[in-house]
Amino acid sequence: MYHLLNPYENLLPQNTDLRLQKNHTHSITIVNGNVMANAHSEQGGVSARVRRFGAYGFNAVPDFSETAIKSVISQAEENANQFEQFPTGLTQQLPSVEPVQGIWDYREGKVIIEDSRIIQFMLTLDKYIADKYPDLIKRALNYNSMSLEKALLTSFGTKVFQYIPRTLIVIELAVKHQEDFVNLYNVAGGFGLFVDNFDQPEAHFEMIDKLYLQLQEKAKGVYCRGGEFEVILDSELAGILAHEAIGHTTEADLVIMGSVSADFMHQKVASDLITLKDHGQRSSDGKSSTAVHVDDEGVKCRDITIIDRGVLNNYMHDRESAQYYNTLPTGNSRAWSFSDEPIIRMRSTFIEPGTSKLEEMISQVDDGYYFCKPSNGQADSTSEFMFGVIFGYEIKGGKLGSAIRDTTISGVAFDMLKTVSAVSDDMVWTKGGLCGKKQPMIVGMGGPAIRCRINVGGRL
Amino acid sequence: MLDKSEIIDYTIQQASALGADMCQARLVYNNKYELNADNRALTLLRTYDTVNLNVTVIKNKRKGSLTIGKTDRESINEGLKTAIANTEHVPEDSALDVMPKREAEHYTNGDSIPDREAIFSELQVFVKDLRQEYPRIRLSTTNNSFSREQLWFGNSNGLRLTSDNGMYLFILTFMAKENLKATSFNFSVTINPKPLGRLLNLEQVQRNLYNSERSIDPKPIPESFTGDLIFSPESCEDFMETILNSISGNALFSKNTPYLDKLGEVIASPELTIVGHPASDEFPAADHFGAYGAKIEKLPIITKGRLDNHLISYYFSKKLNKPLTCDGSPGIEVKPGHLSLEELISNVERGVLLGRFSGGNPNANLDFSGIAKNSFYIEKGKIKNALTETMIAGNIQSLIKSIKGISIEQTGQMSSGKFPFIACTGVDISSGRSSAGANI
Repeated sequence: MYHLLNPYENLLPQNTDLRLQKNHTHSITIVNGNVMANAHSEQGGVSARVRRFGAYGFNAVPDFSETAIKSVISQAEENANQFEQFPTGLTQQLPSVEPVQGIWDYREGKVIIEDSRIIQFMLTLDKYIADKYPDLIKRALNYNSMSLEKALLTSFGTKVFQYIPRTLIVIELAVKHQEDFVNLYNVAGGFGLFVDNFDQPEAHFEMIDKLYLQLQEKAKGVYCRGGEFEVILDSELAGILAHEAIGHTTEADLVIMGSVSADFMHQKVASDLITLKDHGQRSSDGKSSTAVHVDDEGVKCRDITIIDRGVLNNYMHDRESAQYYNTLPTGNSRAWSFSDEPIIRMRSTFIEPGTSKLEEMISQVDDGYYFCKPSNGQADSTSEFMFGVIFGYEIKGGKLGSAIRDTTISGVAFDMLKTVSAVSDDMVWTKGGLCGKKQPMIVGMGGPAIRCRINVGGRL
Repeated sequence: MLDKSEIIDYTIQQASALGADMCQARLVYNNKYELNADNRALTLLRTYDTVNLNVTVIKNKRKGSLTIGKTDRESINEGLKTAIANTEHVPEDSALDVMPKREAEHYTNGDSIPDREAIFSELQVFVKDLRQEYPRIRLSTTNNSFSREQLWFGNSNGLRLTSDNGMYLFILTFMAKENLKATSFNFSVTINPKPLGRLLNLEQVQRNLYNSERSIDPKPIPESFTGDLIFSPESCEDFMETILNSISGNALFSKNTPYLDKLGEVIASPELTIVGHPASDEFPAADHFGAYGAKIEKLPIITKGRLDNHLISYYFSKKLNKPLTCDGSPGIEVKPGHLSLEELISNVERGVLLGRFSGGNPNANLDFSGIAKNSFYIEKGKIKNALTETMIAGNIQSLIKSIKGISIEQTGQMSSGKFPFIACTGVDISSGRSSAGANI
């Protein structure tokens, strides 16, 4: 795909990005022993984006031929020229950016595992669950391999290719307890291809056993009480906290809309214990579940510190928002599919680990909760965030008590983060991570365990 | 190069030639014309074409599937080989089948090319007039667009169906802000087969913008309590999706639903009637036919509280040995009731008018908890104030049994269909910030 860009080097009109992209997906779903889905998907094409009169024209077609490439450039220009009649009042010229050249292909040197082996792997896991745990009313396994393949050429000279894979297996179990259905799932896998994440199915039996035991605990669990409590958020939740509580609020397009972050730059918004970053590449420890080297505007990714020891320091920018705020772009502009325009997205967003020990953090909570596994989450312009919690425990007198049923926790980030009283020395990257904001996007999320005060949605 | 109309026939013939016992293929062309704006100006004109060819092959009662974005012979042949090869590695499934043949059907709805002038002028006028009529409103990710979907479907039994749907969409994301005070973001989606006209006149848009502007000074609830909840059409649409998922073939098959054996039984208040509709001008985003080619017909889902139908696709009808009822995505209508919104509010002793729900996905038991966004506190029949940091929790099974009233007002042109306001009771409402909200 990279070579298809060659004829257009130095020939693109001013302020033009040309992107060739394919999204590859392989998914297998097995529910109660039945293969419900066994599907490959490959969707791709070429797009061009042109800036004129302070606005963008964008066009995409599902083809990579020379005719298609020329036509998208021409049509994108025509789209952009429409704004001559509808002046935007926005600055046309964006600050110049250092061009980047490079290839990051995470398939290179890797063995591609045949579908038959992957299917057999999944069926082996399913059989293990069915044989060992016949009391389950539902067992569901979902294998999902998703790779984004992009070649990008910009009029200012960036020419790059990135192939970024991620492979996950989600295992969901359910029991009926008295009159209630109780479900719990776990995610295995992460960055890379199947061969990078999975070897023998037997290596995952222990995880399944633990999941089953947790499910049984949850079935006998209690509903949370509603109100504000002191809680421990396990390191598995820190990532979604970083993403939802702060991340979205500091995406510069939302700041321009009016998110509260607009009013708090260089002010204290969190405890001194909180340092929150958004990194490119695979983050500084090389373990994030995604990789972004150059964004879809051709800007090399810069690691940024959004909150530095409690003080809000940076937003995440594309070229236009960087212009607006008179700063440098950070390489946060990304598009999900070939037919999507790039918008500001997070990359690998995390809270830095601290120095406390998890056991000690729990022991210091008199009446609260230890939340262990998240589900979905959502952010807000007010910095109020929420995410679902599907597994955790009560804490009474510094000790873990009953497991809890599903709940939702929330808070106003710029208030809640000031209540953080301890940060553990762990660092866990979420294995999955899919963000929705006009388009979906693979993101990395991670962090340590955190003790704070938070609102818990519960029964009275 | 194959003509669009030849691709399905070619795919099915090739599948058979390569050894498939059965095959179905679904070819979708999408064209989009989308004008975007944000708080400052018109920002982006985006146009695209996409093509998706989805093929399912069945060989020896085993399934393989493929979706590709190409329709040339070589790509189709390679794709079929992969899909057929994949059938060898999965267990047999006796429920796998394709629909029997019936007479060919062709459906058309809406425009086939965008009214570009209307799209531009509508959004430009909207951005300009918004500043004057709703000065506190700030826009994000707002677009006015036209979308056309051309669909060809066929299977190895000779079934052939086509549809050609054009629709206009206005997607609005916004918040209100005044100095340092800001509301939650809110959004609305309005769909129509023809251009939408003056966007500020759309009922959903007007109502939500007005509510955001008067939410600039929210307060938490004074104390935690168990009370009433009035769903807005938007939050009603959200919760209805959960209910419909829990009566789907998928849920029945995994036995992971409280409605498994409830067909014909009363599961909700007699106030509640929900109907599924095929695509039409009133339900432009609905399907004409489903994933297996079954025609979408008008379907009573819940009638005066009684569960009339589960939503069972062609595959699950075979799997569960139950009648096929709904093979795709119908337009959903929750029938209006007999009370005005004002009357619903006046009947509330203490409760919340729920604008938007932001919470963890309800579980299989239909327990839910989350934040009441863009919502208002009601006390003694009157709206007291907009709410902040307020959580609601309950169980959807109980809620729909506890319906106190449904509004005469019903909002249409929504992405899933038409929804009214619904008042229920028995919801736990709490806030960590209320004076008696901590550690109850």
